[in-house]
Amino acid sequence: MIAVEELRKAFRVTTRRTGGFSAIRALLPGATSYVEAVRNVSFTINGGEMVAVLGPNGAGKSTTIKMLTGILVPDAGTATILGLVPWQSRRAVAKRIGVVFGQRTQLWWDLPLSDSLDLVRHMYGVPTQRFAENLATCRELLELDPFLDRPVRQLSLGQRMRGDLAAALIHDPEILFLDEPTIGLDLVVKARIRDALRHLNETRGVTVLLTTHDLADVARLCQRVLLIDHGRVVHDGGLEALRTRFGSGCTLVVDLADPSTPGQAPSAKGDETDQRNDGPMVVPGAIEIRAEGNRHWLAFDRREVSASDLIAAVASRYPLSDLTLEEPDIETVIASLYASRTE
Amino acid sequence: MTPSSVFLPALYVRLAVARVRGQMRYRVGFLLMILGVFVANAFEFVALLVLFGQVKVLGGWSAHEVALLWGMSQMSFAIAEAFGRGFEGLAPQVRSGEFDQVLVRPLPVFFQVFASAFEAHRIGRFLQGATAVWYARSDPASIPWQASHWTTLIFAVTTGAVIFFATFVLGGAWALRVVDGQELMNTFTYGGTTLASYPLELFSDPIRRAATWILPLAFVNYFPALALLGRVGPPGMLPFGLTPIILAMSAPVVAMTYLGVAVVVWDRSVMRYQGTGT
Repeated sequence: MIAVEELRKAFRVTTRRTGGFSAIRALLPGATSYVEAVRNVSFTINGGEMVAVLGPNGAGKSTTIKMLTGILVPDAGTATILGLVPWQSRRAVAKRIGVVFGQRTQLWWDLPLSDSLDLVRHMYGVPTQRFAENLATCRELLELDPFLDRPVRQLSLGQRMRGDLAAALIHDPEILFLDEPTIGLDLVVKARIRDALRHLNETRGVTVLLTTHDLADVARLCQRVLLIDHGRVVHDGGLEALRTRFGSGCTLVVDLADPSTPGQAPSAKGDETDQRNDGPMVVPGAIEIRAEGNRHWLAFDRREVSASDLIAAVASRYPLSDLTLEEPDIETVIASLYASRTE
Repeated sequence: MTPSSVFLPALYVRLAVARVRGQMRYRVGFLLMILGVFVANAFEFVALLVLFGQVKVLGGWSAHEVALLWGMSQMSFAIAEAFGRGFEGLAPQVRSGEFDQVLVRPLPVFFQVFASAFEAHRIGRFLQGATAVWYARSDPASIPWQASHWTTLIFAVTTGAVIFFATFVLGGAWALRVVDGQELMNTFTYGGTTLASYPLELFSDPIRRAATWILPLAFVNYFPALALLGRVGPPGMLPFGLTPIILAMSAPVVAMTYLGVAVVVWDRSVMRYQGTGT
């Protein structure tokens, strides 16, 4: 359905001249450099899959989508969508895919939503009967009725996004490309859009490729995640696998039975403010990252020390009253991945 | 299922009607817009008349003759603006990324940009141009205004509209290549109408040549007006020593050639855009 092989795209960037006469010198050719937006992206998506493309801003997600939808021509590599090369058969591919850019609208600002959908219908040459059926589906699925006759300029962001999604569905696309379809939306609208996408996927077998920064989108919709960073696919698999692979850092939270830390003089009357005078707990393979009263947080890497070994080590050194193991949530994993790239 | 094919002229009409209907939702605003365009251009016309209060002739042209020239260029420009606004307003769309939307639809890019705007309120400028021509007609010393003259006028205005339209297309192509190039392009479009509003005798030789051979403004109204008024034109200034009538008759060929060049440049610019993403 979608096959991408070693796709590459670099943009030429002209550095703006500054200083005296910059306005005039801006007309002259400046120093140009190349920014590699997509370095080497390969993947295959089968019909009926729902795949999320994750990655920090500037990782190359949007550029990849633009090449797959025929907007941009890559520098190297190949891609086929439904057996066609999108930048060579742009119009043929466009007939069979639906594209929504969350940050922009394809609707007519001054016209009621229903008129916009009707115009889209004529642009794709959708037969009357088919249009009526699809419109009915969209009205139900996306709850368009309350604002169907309102000019697009008066719609809220959530309403507009539902309208845009409807406009992308009028011509029965086999594949949906959604670039941040839930950006800036409230939870109710997000849920509505996710339900609609899942319904389309289940009943019509629509293949969905979406980029997002909202991991709830991924968790509710996509069995598969493509993590793109620095223009490369760094992970291709399930969301859980992503955690196992990149989220090896865990935290052991222990409550000590005795407020004083061994090796240190017990603090006077256990006064809370004196607790910070106590030194940190010392356990091989872990670092204390936080302490509050009797409670201590110990960070460790699962690849270096197993949780059971660590617990045994702690228990042999300190009197314990309670302990819990905290796994990183996927947001933390992704956030730390994103943070690490900014050096 | 395969969608049935799309008939582009019908789709254009549908999109244009939708656009005007959208504007008509604010009926008063729409009428004010027409009035605004009319009045803004009326000032320019009045300025012209004030000028002729001081001088009897300008480069050998009387007030009525210059009014004809001015009216013709205004009418042509109004038509071009009404139909070519999609190309003219492209720069912000390229900058915001809205232009990408055009590339994911199963229609020719040129058609979509052409059909993306139809500005009915440009009729304000057209009416102002028509007023100037009506004023020119009141001069008993000039043209007898028989049917053939009217035909020539209509033909010339249409040809002029094609030339201005092609200039807008070139402007759109420019916007695809240079994001911040709008100002420079305005020099050619709006600057072009101003130039075409006055007899070319007033300008220096390089400007006259540029207005004939590079941006064929002289074919918009100058040569046709010379032919209409039965003037011979300044000696040695017309290309190849051709008569104004022959030049006026060749204007449609020049206009279509110019439009053809503009479309080729446009197509190449779209390809370049897809290659670079600007």
